[in-house]
Amino acid sequence: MKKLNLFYLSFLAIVIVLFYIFVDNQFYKSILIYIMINAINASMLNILFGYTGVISLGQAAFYGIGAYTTGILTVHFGCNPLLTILIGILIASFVAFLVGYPTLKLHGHYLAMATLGFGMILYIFFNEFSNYTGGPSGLVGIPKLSLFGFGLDNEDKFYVFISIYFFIFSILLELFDKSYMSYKLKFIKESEFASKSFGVNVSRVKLIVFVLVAAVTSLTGSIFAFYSGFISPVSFNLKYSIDIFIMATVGGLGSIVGGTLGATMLTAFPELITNFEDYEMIIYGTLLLIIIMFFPQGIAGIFKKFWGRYVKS
Amino acid sequence: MLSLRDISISFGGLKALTDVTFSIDDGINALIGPNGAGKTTLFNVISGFLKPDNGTVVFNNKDITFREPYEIFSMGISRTFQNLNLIKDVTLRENLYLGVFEKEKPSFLKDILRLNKRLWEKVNKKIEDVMDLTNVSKWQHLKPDSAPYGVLKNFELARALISNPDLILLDEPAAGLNNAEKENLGLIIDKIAGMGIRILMVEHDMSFVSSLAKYVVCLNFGKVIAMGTYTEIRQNKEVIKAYLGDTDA
Repeated sequence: MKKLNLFYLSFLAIVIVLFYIFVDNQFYKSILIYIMINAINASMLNILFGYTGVISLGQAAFYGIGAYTTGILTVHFGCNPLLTILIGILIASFVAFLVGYPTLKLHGHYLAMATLGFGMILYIFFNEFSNYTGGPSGLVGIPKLSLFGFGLDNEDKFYVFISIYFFIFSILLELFDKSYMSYKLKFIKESEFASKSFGVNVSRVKLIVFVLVAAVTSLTGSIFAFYSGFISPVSFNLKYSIDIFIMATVGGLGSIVGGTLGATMLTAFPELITNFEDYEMIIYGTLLLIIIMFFPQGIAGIFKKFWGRYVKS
Repeated sequence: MLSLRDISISFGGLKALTDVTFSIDDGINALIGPNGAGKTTLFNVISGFLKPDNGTVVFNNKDITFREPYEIFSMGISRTFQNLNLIKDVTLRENLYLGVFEKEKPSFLKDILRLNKRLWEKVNKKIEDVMDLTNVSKWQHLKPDSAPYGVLKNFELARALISNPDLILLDEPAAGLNNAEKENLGLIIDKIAGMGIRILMVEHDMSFVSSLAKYVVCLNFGKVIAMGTYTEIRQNKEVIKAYLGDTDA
């Protein structure tokens, strides 16, 4: 049994706490909240693609299912906020099952196209089902989340809430990475033939992973809806699916810290270079190109190399 | 033990196997035949990757013809591959997890929450035992890209062995090995057979087959043309004509 990376978990906890104590600026806090939301989505995609080899370009749709379920049920029906999160998870899981059952038999580009198509259908649905979703103009008036009478009605409170969620998520992710299950997914990714020969029900495992990833992504979508108070289809379009795909890839596919590293860099980076607005896309694109061409294992791979060369020796 | 009856399979217009019928029981058995005779196809039928158009595969008195590969593994058949099929992203030792954990079927929650320390201890003990048997302990921390070919072959064998199967299908175990490695492999296979595990191997190296196999089945163009001991097979005119040639291999 591999040892847990307690250094990484402690480092995360310290950064989150220090940021809370020393940063008063609400804008920076909101960036960190978005980093954590994106990190969770990118990490889940990393489990799906980086570990299991299941490519999905439709993750934004599951994120949207969570957000819209929460939005519609709270705004139009006045449902209990926690109940809406649960319903969102159930709907996303059911939809993931329906989509995954036939499509996960596909591989590579075909699977990417199928999931992309699913994402597009949901995007159209969010736009066209305007009586409930608000259409392209979006859905306003989503109430702030309240937990056990404690309202998350400002940036600081929400920061604490999302930090706890993110930290628990990171612990679970670390536990997953050090379990046999993470090996099993890597075996499936590299050789379905060998995995089947040694007792792995590949179709079943891929479907379970797809559904679990959709469920967590939906949960994060619900939390996003409560945080922003407003949602529109633009937040759940193909661009967002590709964004989290790039975050996972740049961070490091198949590495448990990959999603967090990629999300941190790609969420914060555009904000850091706003002074060079005219050149933003050029700088962003060049950086991506360099990482993908010269560091195929992403930022996590660079850290791993550094750790092996200078820290362990 | 393993009984094949009238197995036929076609790919488009090509008949890959036609009415293949034979049984094997204890010890080491070999399946020989020229290239394209249908040996690996037959292995894929036995291990569930191909479903025959006709015929039945019975293993330990159970019909496994239309079972999925993962079910067939759990019933006691494991295998190696003609082309190495080790997982490159993990060490050779970690490759053995695939062989052993699926047999143990760990609970997902216990696995994630690290509540199965005893299982890990059991797995590690099994891994040590099987690596000792196959003489590969010193290579265990390497990744497959960094280890010699002969070692990788032994790791594939170790992975097939670690699940305590009743039958191991070895697809060209001696291919690509030098004489010393073949000799070593032969000794390991003999030991495995001595543990009561049945072996069915596809092999082209006739001296390797003759030194190990007590029963040999010869295929040609998807049909069984002879079966018996190696001595009987080498005297069979059809076999000589189809595969062995006029002189001993």
